[in-house]
Amino acid sequence: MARSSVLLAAALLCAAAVAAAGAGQQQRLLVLADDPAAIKTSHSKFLASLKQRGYRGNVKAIGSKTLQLKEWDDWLYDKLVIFGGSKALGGAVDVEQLVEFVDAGHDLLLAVDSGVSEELRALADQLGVDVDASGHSVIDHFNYDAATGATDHAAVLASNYVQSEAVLPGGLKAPVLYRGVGLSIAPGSETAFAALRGSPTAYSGRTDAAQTDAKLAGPALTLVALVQLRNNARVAVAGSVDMFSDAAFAAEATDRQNKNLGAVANEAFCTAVSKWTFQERGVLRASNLSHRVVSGAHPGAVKPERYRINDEVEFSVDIQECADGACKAFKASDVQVELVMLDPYVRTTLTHDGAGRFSTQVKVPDTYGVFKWVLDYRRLGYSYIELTETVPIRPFKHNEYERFIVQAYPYYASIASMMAGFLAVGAFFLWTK
Amino acid sequence: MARALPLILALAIGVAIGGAAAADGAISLSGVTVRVLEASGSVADKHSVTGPDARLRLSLDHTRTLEVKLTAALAGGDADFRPQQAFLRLTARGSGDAAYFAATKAKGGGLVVTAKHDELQKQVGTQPGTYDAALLVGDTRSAQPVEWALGEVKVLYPPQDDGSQPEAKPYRPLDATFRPKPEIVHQHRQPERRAPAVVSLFFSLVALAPLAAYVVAALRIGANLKGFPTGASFLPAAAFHAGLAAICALYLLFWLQLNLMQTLPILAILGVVTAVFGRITLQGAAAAAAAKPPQKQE
Repeated sequence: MARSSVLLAAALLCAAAVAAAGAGQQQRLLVLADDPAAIKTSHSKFLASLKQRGYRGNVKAIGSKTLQLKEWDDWLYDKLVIFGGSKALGGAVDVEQLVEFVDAGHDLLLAVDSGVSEELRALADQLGVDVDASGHSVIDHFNYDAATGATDHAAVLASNYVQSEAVLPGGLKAPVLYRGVGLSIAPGSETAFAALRGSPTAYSGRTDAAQTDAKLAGPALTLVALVQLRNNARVAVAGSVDMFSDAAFAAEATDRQNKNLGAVANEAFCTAVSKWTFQERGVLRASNLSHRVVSGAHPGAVKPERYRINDEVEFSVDIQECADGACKAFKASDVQVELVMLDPYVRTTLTHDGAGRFSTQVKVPDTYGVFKWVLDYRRLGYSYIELTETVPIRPFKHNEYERFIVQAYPYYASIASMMAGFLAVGAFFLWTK
Repeated sequence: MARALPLILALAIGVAIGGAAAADGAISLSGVTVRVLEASGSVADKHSVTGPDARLRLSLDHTRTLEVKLTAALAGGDADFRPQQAFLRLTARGSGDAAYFAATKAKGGGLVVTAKHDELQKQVGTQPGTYDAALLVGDTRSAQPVEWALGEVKVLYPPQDDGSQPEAKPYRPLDATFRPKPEIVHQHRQPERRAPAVVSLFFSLVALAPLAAYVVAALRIGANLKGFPTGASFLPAAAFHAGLAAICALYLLFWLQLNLMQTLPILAILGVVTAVFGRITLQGAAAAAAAKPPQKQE
């Protein structure tokens, strides 16, 4: 009995240790705001949801003189949320360091509004998102919220959200209440996409003047932009700080005929945006890249040093999709692999077995040289997968060609006949009597 | 800003209750004319629109300009009401991308929207095809904005060399990145066509025929091996011919399985042996020939 209780105690200790280890991996979060105390009350639900998801950290004033992100070469935080206003960045933090923070693979959620400081505007610009001119706001005379935006039509009900299972699984059931500044993404951007766009009647402008240009309107008007950088770090830029607030989470939408449309989807949307940004959704992990010869010079050779031309080979890789803390087999029918020597010689689509194993069989080209397998998978909302594996392809060795083909028999016959003839001529010449 | 929201909320509700009548004025449009202008300024096409669902069919190529004139009025508002939003929207049917053109004050009163082809291209990229045109007029002073569908506009781009329209290009390269690329199948070189086996077997026989012909002809004109030495010189003569045959056989072996380094030592031994026995044999043959003078040929 005593022994079993000791065992039980040991087991409990082990469990506690595991739990502690899990807690040790908690992500360090910093929230910056113009007025930390105000944000703590006005955005308490959003901050509580972050805390509940395991982010440990606090809210600091953006202009604080003691603010620092980095101590010597160590980053003090893994994730950063900025509720940006007009105040300048303080302490040791500047735009350059924030860009460096993202370049180091950390994630950033940046929410600004129309009175945004030049520094944060420059930061958004560096990340590929352009914040519209100061004093402009998103206006929609057709889809505004009559309860909060009847006078200026600048509290818009946005329902043009991104169709991506990785970002917004299941979509949104209601519009998002949005009061803020318009964003735009350069058409040539290869990293940023819009999570929330303006409706076909929305535009960005001043609420008190007639609009004489329509530079930023409709679907090109971005309300919330998501950026997935090449190092898989993620950034969200929202043109509204209010959309994350408790008031917006609790709001009910009212259309311009004063009809109640029910609760808005701000909480679901903002949670989804923060989950995506902090790598809780749409993360793909590739592992176990392998390739083998099926038939050819060395059938069955796994990861051979080189292939021979025309070998039949199999390429395979495991891909897992991680969302909400669990990884499961990724299922997609559009993962492609290329066999590249400067140009792709073969590009083929991988099939999966339902358990995350993606594979394909390829006959390697009859061109020899240094080839590599390239798997470059980029899909909206998912983290990028970039795998390369170099495998040179060699030609046939001189003794690997086919021999004794029937078509060569005349040549063999002529040589044999010449040899026999030589022997016969010699014998007859010497010994004829 | 965040703290201001409840304030705005309260204010807005107050306004919504207090100023409901003021914000309810309906916007009405009048004198809506749609014109398609040539580069020279002459009018190519002109329509007058009176209702919210006009079904015009217009054509806009790279030399033309679409122009919409309108006058907006606010019920219970100022006489010189100018709406904050007076946009012409062209939505591409395929992609859903839209281009917007804002109205400016027209010379003779009212508003005018001009949609130039290059401005359209700037906003949505190269997307030839059909666009839906709509007129949007809205203002914060009214809760009843106006959206009039004007009909469809066929947008044409400068034709390519063969007269066809350029293909629609994805406006955002990111969209193209996110789609799977076309598959590439490497075209392996086809093995050369071979002659049928019968033909090569026939020619093998043809290649062997001269040997057979030679043997037959030689025997017929009296070739024989009757002079093959007997007695003491039989052994060297047999060894000499066996050596020659062995060298030929070595060549065959070299072709079938040996490499050069294996072959050369064997060839050296066989060569020396054959040469030694060859010298003995040929010496004997020469001595025998000298001892017996040749028969006179008639």
